[in-house]
Amino acid sequence: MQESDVNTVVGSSVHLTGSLKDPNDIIIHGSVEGEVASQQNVVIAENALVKGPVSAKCVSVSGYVNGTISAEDKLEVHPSGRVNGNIKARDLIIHSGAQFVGKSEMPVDEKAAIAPEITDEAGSQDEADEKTTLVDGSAEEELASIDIEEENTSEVDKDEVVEDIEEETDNKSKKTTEDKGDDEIDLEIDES
Amino acid sequence: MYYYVFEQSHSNQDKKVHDKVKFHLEEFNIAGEVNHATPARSAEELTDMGLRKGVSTIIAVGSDAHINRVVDTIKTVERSGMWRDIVFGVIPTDPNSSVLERLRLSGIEEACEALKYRRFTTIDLCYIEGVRYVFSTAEMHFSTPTQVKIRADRWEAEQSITDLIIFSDLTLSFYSMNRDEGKISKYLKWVFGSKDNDKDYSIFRAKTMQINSDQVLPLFIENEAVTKTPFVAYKLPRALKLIVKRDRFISDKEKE
Repeated sequence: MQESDVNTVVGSSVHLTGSLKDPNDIIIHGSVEGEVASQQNVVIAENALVKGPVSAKCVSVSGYVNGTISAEDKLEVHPSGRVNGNIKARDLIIHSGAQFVGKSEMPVDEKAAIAPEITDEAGSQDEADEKTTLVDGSAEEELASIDIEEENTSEVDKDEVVEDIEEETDNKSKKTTEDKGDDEIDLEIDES
Repeated sequence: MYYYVFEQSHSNQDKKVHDKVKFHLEEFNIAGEVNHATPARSAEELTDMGLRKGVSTIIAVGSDAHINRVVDTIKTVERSGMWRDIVFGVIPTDPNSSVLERLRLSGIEEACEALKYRRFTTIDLCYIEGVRYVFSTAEMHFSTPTQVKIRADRWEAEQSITDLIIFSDLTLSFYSMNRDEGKISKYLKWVFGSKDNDKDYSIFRAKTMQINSDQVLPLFIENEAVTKTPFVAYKLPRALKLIVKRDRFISDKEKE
């Protein structure tokens, strides 16, 4: 039978000595003298006895533990639970009626410890700055292009205007000379 | 080509079942060389003959005990180093077979269908040192709680038990049931739904396990006493290529 997903279960009348390790859950109803380690959950049931270190992702204690408990995620000591030893857990629940003698340590992530809001804000501020600089840069570029276009257009306009003015002045001067010529001719005729 | 090793027929009922199996083999077009165990030629001998012929796939047809015997022969011959990578298939004929349940097969027809597709997986086997390879289970049962010492990889336990089962992946489960319990006590537990029985049930897994006791206690494989305490059991990981049902490995996500 392939029972790979089966948990380890220590029956109520079992007294086990040695290291008990299983990647799956470990449920203890009896007594264990030695290390208990799991990558999942360890449940120490009521009337169960563990003398030795316990380490797992989540540990639930309803019986008696004489040793250190290290829970990666959560440690819960139920009203019937008794713990004599140091404990280390990220999330700790000790119910009313439970007994705990020892030191407790709650490891906190450094990232989480340094005010997550601030780090978030700082992050968002940086992002915002980046966005604004990007916006500013693009705006500046746009503005610069507009200026260049305006300058170009003004230069063109000026040239055209100058040319127009020159043409107009030329035409005017031609007209005046012609007019003057006519007048002169007229005068000459009159004199004759 | 498939090499079939049928269990010896003990009754007309067995013959009918075997005929049914042969009908399904032809139906699924997987008929191969059929061999029936007889008092003159045991299942072990037939399996050994098939291996010497160079067949690559051996199918055991019969009870769990017969299946265990064929597996034991395959592994013993493989151990000699002459043949390797034999693919093994089963057609359990007993409707209450634990192998049938283990492979999630509904019956003979589905077992034959599984052989048609020849989808195999590699499974762990238990080896009782110097005795037998275990494909199903090895068991110990006592009428009264008996003291047993169990030594596994890194731990040892001493326990009074009434039932002990060793599975093929060396998962060990044992139970201590008080068979002399009074009727009133049993009735009260039944009425109030006591879960005390669950607490007496133990399950362990190991790679090596030694079982010892003060008295000499027998170990059974399919009701056949194969050895006695003390004995050592090993887990042989990925030791046998077994043909399984086609949808055995369909995950829940794929089903959805």
